[in-house]
Amino acid sequence: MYEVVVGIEVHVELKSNSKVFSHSQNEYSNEPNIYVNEIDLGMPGVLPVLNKKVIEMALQASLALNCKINKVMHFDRKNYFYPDLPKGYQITEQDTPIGYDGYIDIGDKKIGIERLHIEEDTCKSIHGKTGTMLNANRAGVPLIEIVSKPDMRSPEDAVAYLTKLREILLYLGISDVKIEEGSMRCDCNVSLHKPGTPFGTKIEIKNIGSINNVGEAIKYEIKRQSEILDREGFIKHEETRRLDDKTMTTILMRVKETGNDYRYFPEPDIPYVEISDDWINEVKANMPVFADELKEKYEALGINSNNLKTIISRLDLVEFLESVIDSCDPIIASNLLTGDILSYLNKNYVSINKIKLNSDNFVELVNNIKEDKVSSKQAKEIIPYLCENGGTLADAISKLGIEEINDISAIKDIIKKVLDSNPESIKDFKEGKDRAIKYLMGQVMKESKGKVNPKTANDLLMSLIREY
Amino acid sequence: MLSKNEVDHVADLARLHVDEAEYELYEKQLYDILSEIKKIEDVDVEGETEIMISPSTNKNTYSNDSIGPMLSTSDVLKNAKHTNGDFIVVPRVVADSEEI
Repeated sequence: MYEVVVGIEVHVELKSNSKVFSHSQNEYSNEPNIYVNEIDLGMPGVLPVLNKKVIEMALQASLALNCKINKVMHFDRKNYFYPDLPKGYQITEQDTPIGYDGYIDIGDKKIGIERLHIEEDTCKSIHGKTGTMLNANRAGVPLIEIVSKPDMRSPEDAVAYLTKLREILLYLGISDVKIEEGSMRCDCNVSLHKPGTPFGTKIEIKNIGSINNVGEAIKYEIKRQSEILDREGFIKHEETRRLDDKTMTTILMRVKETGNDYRYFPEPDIPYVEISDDWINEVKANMPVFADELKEKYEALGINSNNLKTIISRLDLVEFLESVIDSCDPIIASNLLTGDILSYLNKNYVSINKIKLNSDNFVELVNNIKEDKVSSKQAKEIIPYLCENGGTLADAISKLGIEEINDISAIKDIIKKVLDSNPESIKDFKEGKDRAIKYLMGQVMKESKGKVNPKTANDLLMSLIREY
Repeated sequence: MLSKNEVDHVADLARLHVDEAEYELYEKQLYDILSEIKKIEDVDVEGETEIMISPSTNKNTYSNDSIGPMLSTSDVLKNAKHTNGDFIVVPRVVADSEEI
């Protein structure tokens, strides 16, 4: 049997305001070539100047991934002729990556991080039939490239590594890390060998569109490479493939042969960067609370594992929950957040800080549910209303016309009316058929148009029925 | 002298075409440049000598994370030989149709 060996390179776009070496806006747009200046296009005579924010973000990532830090760094030019690079070279950190020799824990396994370095993104290319179309909005967007050691031994390891890596970067708030939108891009190196023998020939799989698809691509490669090894004994040469997500197979990419000869040399336009111990300590002191810590906290509060998983994967939900968690019941809060609120957010493609529901009306709602003043049925109507319109809970209830009937004698009247018209059910109840109560309650809710509190109504029904 | 293959490789990296008659000239010129650079190998760098990356003593020269003026799209496209809408168009570099 063969063992699979996987190493992963991840490119992550950092969300600074401006690009890494120019003052152009760092923003995604459907309109091509609008966030571009002379530096991004590599015009003669321009001088790149390093954006300090980018160094800080890369430093945060390096420390969060347990990397050692190169305290004196310089940049290098990676020369290659490719139309997505107007300058003819990419500015990167070949010799002195900001972070090196780190790791991520996945379960009880450590996955090593070889290096983490800063570089500039290239133009986005769309390869059409008649030519390649270039959009320079992306040229010069800051990237960090994170290279793992070949420490993963299964598709599951790879998925766990990427999930954890994504989570850490998300919590640092330095990137959107959306694979679907290209702000996180994964290239996988997959090879097979027999344990105890040297690693096999690497196959690189580029630009896989989701974390789960990384697992699928590796599964397919295990099958494909095993068959070649069984048949021929070895894999002839390294190659680059891509995942076809319709068939879940990998396809050879026929990139025109250029021969990798990057002729790296130090970038003379950018002076040395020194990272002081003070700076490192400051970044360390300001690390956010990470998902693992929150998971423990939420578990201890009794939030169930499904809700917990959903909340942890969305930073906006985490921040919201953190803002209300000391003022209301965390279990009810998490149920609402992952239920009707999340449906509203998904339906409208918004994050929770962009809607009218806020911590005040949310806490009010949770507390009223907790005290049985608002039923779950009412909550279902109240939540979309608050998300859309905001305001107080009382406003929402009155605007929706779903006030509860609080007058006990009025509730009693409704129950008596129901009992009077259902003598059969009263008889059934007295003969010990519990079903009868359910039916009667249904009638009470119907008669009251859902405006009585079910618990109050149930208590009153139980006492009134005995008088019949 | 450099070999013809080496001249071809360097030309290929720079996307230059070399005429048959030019090889001899480039084989010699490139060799002369390399020989000049090779002199650096004679310098004694044993021990603790650190490689100097930059002759400048400047360090930590940063820009702040602010947005400055950008070019209009028409200016961005001005130097492009071919355009399609607001895209710059260059010869196709990948055999399969896809986005990179």
